[in-house]
Amino acid sequence: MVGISTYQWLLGGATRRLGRLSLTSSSEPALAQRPARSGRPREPLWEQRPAHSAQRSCGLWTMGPRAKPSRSRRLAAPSTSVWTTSSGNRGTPRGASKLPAYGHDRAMQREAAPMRRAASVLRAVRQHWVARLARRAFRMAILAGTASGLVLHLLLTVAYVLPLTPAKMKYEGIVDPVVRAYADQKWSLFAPAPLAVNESLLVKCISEPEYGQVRNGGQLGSDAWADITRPLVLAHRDKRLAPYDRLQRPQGARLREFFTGSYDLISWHHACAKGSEEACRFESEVMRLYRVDAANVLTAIASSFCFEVGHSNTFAVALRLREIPVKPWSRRYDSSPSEPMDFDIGTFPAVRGIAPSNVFASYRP
Amino acid sequence: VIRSTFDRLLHEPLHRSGQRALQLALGAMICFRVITEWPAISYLFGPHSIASIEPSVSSYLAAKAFSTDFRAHATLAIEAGLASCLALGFATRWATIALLLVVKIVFARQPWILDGGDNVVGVVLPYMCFLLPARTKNWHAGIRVWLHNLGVIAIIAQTCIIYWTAGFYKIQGSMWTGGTALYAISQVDLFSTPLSSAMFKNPWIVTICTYATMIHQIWFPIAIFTRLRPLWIAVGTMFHISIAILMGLLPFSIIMMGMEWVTLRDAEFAYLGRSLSRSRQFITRAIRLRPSLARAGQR
Repeated sequence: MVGISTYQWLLGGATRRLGRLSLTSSSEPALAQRPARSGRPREPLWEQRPAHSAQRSCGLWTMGPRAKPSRSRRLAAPSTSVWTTSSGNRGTPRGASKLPAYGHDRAMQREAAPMRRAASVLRAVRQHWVARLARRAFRMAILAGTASGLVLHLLLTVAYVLPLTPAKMKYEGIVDPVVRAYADQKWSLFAPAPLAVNESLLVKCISEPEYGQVRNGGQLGSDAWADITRPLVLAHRDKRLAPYDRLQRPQGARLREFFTGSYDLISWHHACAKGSEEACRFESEVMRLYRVDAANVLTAIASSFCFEVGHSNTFAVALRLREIPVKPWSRRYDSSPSEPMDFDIGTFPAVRGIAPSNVFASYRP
Repeated sequence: VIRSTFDRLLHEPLHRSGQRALQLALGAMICFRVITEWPAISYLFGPHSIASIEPSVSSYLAAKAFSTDFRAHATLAIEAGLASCLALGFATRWATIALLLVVKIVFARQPWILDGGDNVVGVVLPYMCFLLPARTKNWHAGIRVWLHNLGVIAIIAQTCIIYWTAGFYKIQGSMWTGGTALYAISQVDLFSTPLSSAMFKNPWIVTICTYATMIHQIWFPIAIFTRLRPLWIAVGTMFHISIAILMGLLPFSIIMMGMEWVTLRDAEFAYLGRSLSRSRQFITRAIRLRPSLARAGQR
């Protein structure tokens, strides 16, 4: 009962308020009669019209039953109704150039008579209680629809960004596709475990004979590997107002994608770890696709580098991830370098025609 | 209370100064991005870029907009132009709608260079389409004002969601609760400077800063509805300035400062403006007085 009463009270208040508002010009007198908000003066509309408009009143663009002219205006223009416009306090009245001069030319007055009659019929229709009710219902629907739409959107967003919970698992199939489609977002921001490793992409430019040897089971030498991530990172540290971090981001993102997949796979990974064979199959299949995509882009990045630094005979590129872990807190003053760990990604045919980054032209490993 | 709130939402556009601050921040951030990325457009976005390897990721519009080098440069130039309009307050509503379209195209073309700041832009731009134009001085109470206020509420709610989620994830991490998370981040070359690497080796600094970050983020959605709001915004602004300098995440910091400033009311902006004006007058007077004092001392 309390809920219904509150709703009726709210609805009643809103409806009464809406009766005096706004989509049409009938709102202007209500606005004009209200006290000014936030220090902005609101004069009555008939006081804000330009002086010459008083001579043009013809009753065709009347605002509604509450629009009243001042005494001086009524005396100046012997019309039964007042001409006011929806442009209201903005100055120039709408459609002013189309108005005939009033009162001085009877022929023009006769021409305007049918239009005036049509306007009065229209006004009567507009002011019919059914029309008024429909208009108010329409406005109320807009207000309620937008407000409830916003609430629903925010609830979906909160459900989307929260960690995996039983409730979220139940509605994940609904929430995730909807929010991901129009408001994808992820705000873990260095949490729960902050990145504690320096990652680099190592590249080796391989000529056609070398590639043949590798295809026949030969080993890649440990020399001539170029770290193409670290120069960008160090340049970004020196020059914050430059695009070096943007150039580095595709490398880092694709390396993580190649080795750990996407953020979406975490729940499947946990399910697989708990023994679900279906989850393991799904994870391995999706990971295979991720790795193909990531390897393609990393190959393009490496090919661009090889041709930019002058290895014009590059036929293939070998890729490797290097990880240098951050020292733990207990060894923070230890000046000895951390031991790097390398992980092979593979050897792929080079992609020709990729634009150079214009960063590595003077690169010296 | 409900009725007066409803009445207010229908009649008075709220947070107009905060809206301008956000538009300024977002426009500045996108301009900064485009200007800095300009030399590398061919490599990042062009028809022979590293993004061209994966045409399936790009939408149809993105493929068309970046089909030649000229088009790629033109698309980014249009993005910067629209962002400038937004920052300068010129035709902000149309600029926002057009910018939303262009930003979606650019993001679809190269999603792998995006950071948290770009994520904020993609989420908040649809809300900004409902805001009243920046230069509108006279408004009619009704649907437009209602939608403006809903847009402002959505932006503030989104800011709260960002902070609360980030804080919520942080309290689950052992390095955050252990107080050493900022040390670990400061040792990663990409997010550090020599200064921050050395600074966060101090146990007091790293513990205080790590806990302050968590407390600020978790309490943000509550604090901005209390008298602590100006303090929280001031701390947040300092926090993002330090992120920009120490971690190098400049676009993210700019847009997040804009998101925070939306939560300040117009009266608070006016008070801030008066305070700045008073302090400027005080400094000017002090500078003028100094020579006269010196002359008096000579006599």
